[in-house]
Amino acid sequence: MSTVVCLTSTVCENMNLTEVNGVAIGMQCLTQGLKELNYAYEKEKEIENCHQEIIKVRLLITILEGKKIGVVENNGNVEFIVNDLNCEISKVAIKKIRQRYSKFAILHELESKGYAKVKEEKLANGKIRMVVEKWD
Amino acid sequence: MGLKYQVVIEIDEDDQITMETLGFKGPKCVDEIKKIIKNLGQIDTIEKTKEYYEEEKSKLKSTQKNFSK
Repeated sequence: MSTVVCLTSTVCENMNLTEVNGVAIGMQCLTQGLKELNYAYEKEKEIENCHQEIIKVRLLITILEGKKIGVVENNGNVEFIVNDLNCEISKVAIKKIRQRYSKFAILHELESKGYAKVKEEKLANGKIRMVVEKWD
Repeated sequence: MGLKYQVVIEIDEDDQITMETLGFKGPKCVDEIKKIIKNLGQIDTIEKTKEYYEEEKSKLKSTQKNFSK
């Protein structure tokens, strides 16, 4: 039987952007995730934050009920800006975006190491499960 | 045909990620996960299964056998 090792890791806690060949992989993974979630987004826009300040954002995401989430890059990290910190709709949307971001960031790493995705499913507990493989 | 290596990944809604490798022998599986995670984040915990240690034992046995020759 083959060796099995289970790892639990915290990945992309601060949603670090990885610059590879001049392409912001982090932002690429983020937009891939937004497309999968069917969230519309516009580039280089402005949003009012919770202190009523106007902030320039790299992406302005439209979620349910017309609510908006801004995305800025700060020292290589991605930060989300909302105008209501207690808005449950925004909190849930940010969780979903982070989950999809992680999925595409991991897939990008795995594909660069020769793996190909062979299976993906959404589990009842909300987890995304993927199987990748490579032959040697 | 060559050897098949698989990685099973689960990402929960709180961004916690679990990875499991299949087909790797001994410590190679940990090394592989470290390579994958390197650019993405930090490993919190590593859980080695029974098979991991069984593999280590069989390696140790074969080393001793070679030594006594």
